[in-house]
Amino acid sequence: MVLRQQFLRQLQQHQGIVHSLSRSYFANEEDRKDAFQEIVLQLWKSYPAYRGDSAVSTWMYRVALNTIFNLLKQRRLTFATLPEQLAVEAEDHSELLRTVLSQLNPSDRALVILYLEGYSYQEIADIRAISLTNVSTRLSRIRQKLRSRFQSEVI
Amino acid sequence: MNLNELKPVWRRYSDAVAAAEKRTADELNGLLPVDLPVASYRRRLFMLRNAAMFVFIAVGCGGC
Repeated sequence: MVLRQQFLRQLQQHQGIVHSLSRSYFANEEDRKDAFQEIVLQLWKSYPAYRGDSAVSTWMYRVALNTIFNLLKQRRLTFATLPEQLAVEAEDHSELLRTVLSQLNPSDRALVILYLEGYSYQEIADIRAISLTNVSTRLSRIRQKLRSRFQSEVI
Repeated sequence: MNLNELKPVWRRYSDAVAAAEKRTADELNGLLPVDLPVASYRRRLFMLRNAAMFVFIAVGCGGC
């Protein structure tokens, strides 16, 4: 029971990660609910193996993104090419953020989200299990792509 | 605007999503299976050990 309580405390504190990823990847509410549930299940299954060698949030991003990619690969849920707009605030650059994310495939979207979360290239490489060079090259390409797409607006 | 300047925008977006979708501890608890992952792992080990002992005894007594 101790493990369960410990896990629930961590999950409650960091559940925003799972919600914002689900919202960024899945178009309809049903898919988002399914994704949330599946991610929570996978987090719970892998929790005993989590040894605290990285921050809880880093571990959660790793498991959550892997689960999302599995769901997309199995075609169980539909990828949202355009993440849902927030009804609560239509302020400043939120529309731009939404449009930027819509230009990216699932894998590139993960890199940009992790970058926007403030992770270093090395941390992004660790979370996505790819090389540092790969992260650097891909983020550079993404910047170029966005620059040509948005010209004066972005990057 | 560059990608860095979108960081606070993303922060506000994810905070707003988190606040809108926040679930209580009870709701989160309801999503978890009853079994602990560790317990199910131990049960598999237990069953494997029993199977191994059965084979060992069966071979040891020569089918008596």
